[in-house]
Amino acid sequence: MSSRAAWVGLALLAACTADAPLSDLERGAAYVSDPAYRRAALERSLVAPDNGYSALRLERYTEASWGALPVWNPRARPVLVSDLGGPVPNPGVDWEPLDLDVPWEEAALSALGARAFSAYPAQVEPALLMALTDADAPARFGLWVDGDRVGGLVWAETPGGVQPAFSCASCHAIPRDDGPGLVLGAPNHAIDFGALLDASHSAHTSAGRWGPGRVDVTPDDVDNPTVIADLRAVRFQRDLNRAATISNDLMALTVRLETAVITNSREAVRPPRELAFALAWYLWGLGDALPALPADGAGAAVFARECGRCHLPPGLAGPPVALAAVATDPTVGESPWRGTGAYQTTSLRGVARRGRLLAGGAIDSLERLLDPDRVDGGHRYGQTLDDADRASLLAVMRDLR
Amino acid sequence: MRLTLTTVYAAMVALALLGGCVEGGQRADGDAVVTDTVVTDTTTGRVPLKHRAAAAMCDDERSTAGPDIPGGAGAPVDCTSHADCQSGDNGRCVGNSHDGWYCTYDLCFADEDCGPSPKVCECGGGFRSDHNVCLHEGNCRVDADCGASGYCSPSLGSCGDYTGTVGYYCHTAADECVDDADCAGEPSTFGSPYCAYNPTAGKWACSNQQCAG
Repeated sequence: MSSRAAWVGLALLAACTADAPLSDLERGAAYVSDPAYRRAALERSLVAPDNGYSALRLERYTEASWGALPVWNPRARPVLVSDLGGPVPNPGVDWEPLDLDVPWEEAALSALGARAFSAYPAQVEPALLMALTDADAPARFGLWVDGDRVGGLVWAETPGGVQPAFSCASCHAIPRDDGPGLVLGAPNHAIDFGALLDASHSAHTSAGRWGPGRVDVTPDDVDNPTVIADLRAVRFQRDLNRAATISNDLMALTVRLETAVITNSREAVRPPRELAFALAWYLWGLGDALPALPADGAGAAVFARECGRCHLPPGLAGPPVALAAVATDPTVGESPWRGTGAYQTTSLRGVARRGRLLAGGAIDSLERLLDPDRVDGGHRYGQTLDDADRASLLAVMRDLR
Repeated sequence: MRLTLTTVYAAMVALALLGGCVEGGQRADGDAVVTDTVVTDTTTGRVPLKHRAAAAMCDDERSTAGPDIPGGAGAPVDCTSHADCQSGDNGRCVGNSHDGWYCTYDLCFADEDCGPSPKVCECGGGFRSDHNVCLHEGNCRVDADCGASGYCSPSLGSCGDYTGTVGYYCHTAADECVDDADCAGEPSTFGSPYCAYNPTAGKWACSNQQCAG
């Protein structure tokens, strides 16, 4: 019997035992094996069942619909610097799907999630060919180069031939500023997906105005690009999506990742469920490395007074806040697709590595956010501090990276 | 209503009968011999309403009307007259109140101007305009690229009607639709559903994805 099968058995046994909460791995096993369990996880997580995002999932997250989609785990390999300027490669003998046969253990699942984060073709996007035309092309569109890897991109073998694809790391990783390597999970606020789309079609669309670090992901006939999220802090978020569309927990995140791959493919494929849980498990652990706010000191005291009402320790996140209260651009929060009438109170763990702040990315630095002379952008909290308190607050927040 | 598919077995039989729908050669790649191009065949017997039987040269005729930029336009205004657009062939100042006003030029007149196959010069295919543009996605230029009895058709992308044709793709035996009319009745948040090439699935399928604009 495989280890996962053993976990499934234990999960089912525990589920039948009253008042016996499942461990995280038992919950993951139940998600993989039990349609009713994952359906219940979806339903619990959706804050506003009537918005488009939720309604679509409630309609189609069934065994007969999305559950029947072919599983997507193609032969693939990373896009390399040596590919730049060359033709689309043919699949080689070294192209492999991700190996999902791992022990159902914390370390093994985290390792699988880490591999998937940078190597799983989460979204096929032919427009990426424009970012691979020459050695300088990746930088034109804000794609990082780390060693021989280009932007976390992946060549994926599809039934119609090889296509370029984003991995999670394409948008959710940035080069380290203290040496080689990447900060995995941090938002890539340099990537300009809109410019890439325009370049591929020689077009001049509103996507070209998203700007670096922002993407409009909602099919709601509204221009409402959202800033790319910092996934390192996902464990601390009380809600997922800027409009607080999803009540967060490990299972909600797993389902959210699963359905993202489905909708990214225009409902053509679904990811292996083991992979979806492994990814969620991996992301859940990224928060361990994020510095916490100091317990005392001048900056901590100012934070508690000015920010702590909404950004609650230790995660520095909190319940959603009404759009009118935070008074930022409401366009994202009012989206017919994801809107809930409120915004996520985003965790500030890691905030110093984010190039854009607030849901639409209107503010480009902590200093600007707290600038007493700033009149645009909303979120007025902290703008009335005196110079000393502002300096103390900025000092502790700059360490949250 | 979605098109009923032929079975995979029937497709394989059809491919065998047609013999050599696999275009291009084979090359060695490491220890494996791989094919270069997509095996395609439309076994439905239907001819798509839109397909590219042959490449054509594009003309250099462009409208001289406009631009009529309303006063107080909130969108970006990069040009106010056609005379402002002198950095390429047949420059015109075009746009609208949503996307702004900007210079456009004929970027090509023949497929070869865009680079190697499958890049296509789309005549008058500019975004909400009539300039010729290069399409960098796709897997065919003309029907013959898709094998005997194959069809190479223009496809919308993930933004649907907003961005227009993004590339030309071969129809396949696995297609779920051939024309947009096959997708009538599919649910859609806004705009009309359409038949487009799905690059993940490697086949044509109904889509309702649209982008604002």
